[in-house]
Formats: sequence, C-alpha cells, structure tokens
Amino acid sequence: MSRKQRILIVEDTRSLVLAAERVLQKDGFDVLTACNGQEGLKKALTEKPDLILLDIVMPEMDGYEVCRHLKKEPETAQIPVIILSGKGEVDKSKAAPTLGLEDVSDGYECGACNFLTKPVKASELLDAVKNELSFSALLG
Amino acid sequence: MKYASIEIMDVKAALELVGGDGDILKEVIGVFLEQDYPEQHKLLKDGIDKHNAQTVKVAAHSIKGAVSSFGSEALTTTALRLEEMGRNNDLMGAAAVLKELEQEVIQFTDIFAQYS
Repeated sequence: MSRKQRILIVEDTRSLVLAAERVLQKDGFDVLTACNGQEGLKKALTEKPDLILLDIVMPEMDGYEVCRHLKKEPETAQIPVIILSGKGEVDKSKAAPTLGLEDVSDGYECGACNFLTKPVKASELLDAVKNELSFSALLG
Repeated sequence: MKYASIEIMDVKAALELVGGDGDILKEVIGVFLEQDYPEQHKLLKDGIDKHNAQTVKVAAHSIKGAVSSFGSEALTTTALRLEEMGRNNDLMGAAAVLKELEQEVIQFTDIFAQYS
C-alpha cells in the first residue's frame, strides 16, 4: 500500500496552519507543520514532503528566502512549493487582499510553482495541491 | 452579522476556509482568539511603544491574514491600516488605530460566542 502524500505547511499564524491542516487531513493527506522558515527548512530536509505550502511574510526568514534555500538544496529542489500570501494591495470593495505583480514575479524568481492569496478557500487549497502533485508526478 | 454598516464576521465566508465544517471553524477561531491575537497584539503594542515600524507591519500582517480568512471586513481593514503605517514607517496615530482593533476584536469575540 502506498503511503499517504505528505504536505508541509510553513506559516507563522497558528489558526491558519490549523485550518489548512484540518482541511488537508480530511482529504487524506499527511500533514507536517512548521511555524517559521528555519523549522520549515529543517523539516523539508528530514521529512521529504511531497509538496510545501509556504507563507511569505514571516519574522526573521521570509518565504522567498526559504524557497531559494529549498531550490538550492539538491534534496529539496524538486519539491513543488505553493506560496500563500496576503501580500499586495487590497480591493477596498471586498477587503480581500490580492497579490501584486511584484509578489508573483518574486515568487517565480525564487522557484515557487503556484500562488494562493489569503483568504484561501478550502476548495481552492485542495485544487491547487492536487494539481501540483499531479503535475509533479507527470514530471517524475 | 453587522455592527453599524461594517461586517464584523461573515460566517458563510469563514466556513469556506474550512470546507463548511463548523466544528473545525470553531477550533480555528478559538486558536486565533486564544493564541494568535494575544501574541500579535503584544507585538503591536510593543512595536508602537518602541517605534519599531517593522514589528508593527509584520504583526498587523499576521492578524490581517487570519481575520480576512474569517470574513471580517472591519478587522481586515483596521489591521491593514496598521500594516501600512508600519510599511510607511509612520506610526503617528497607530495607538488610536490599535484601540479600534481591540474594540472590533471584542465585537468579533461576542459574535463568535453566539455562534459557538
């Protein structure tokens, strides 16, 4: 029997970690969590997750730096990274943050494969994770 | 539910965060009110007192990410104001905005208690 696919969430807001963790667990994923960039890098190396969900704005080491480290390290370079961010401008009519072009550009430059803007619906999270895992499996 | 004309908590939007599971939502908002908010509020207060704009920016950003996910237009807007003050390195008036945030969190907590 194949093992469950394993997702690492690197995010410093505990309530949002818990929300994503519960949603992914309910859908059958194994979930690991890290509350800062350093811990995230360590867990990526030791646990070899199938995919990483990475927050951008964190104290000390931000998500872009974490992503660059992951992509430099041969053991973690192939792990798909989805960036989670509330960065950028806010549409005042909805109070819903949207990613700015600069954020997307920085994200691709550091090696991320996809972006989700907070607030992230459970359905959007699951779709993005499954799409990237499928794509990653095709690439072998 | 609304206080004045601004949404304090949109339960329907909040449920979308957790795939419609009310038990998970209660657990998630409980963690925000008991852990995330007190921790980030302390950082905001210290940042404002010590004129540390970077601390204010990061703490406000963290609160904004959570409350926007809970469908709180009012809290999201107020947290964003603090985040922008931090980003612009201009904390003039930040203490008053923090007071607004505190009041809105009290209202949010009241609504959450009714929902629970």
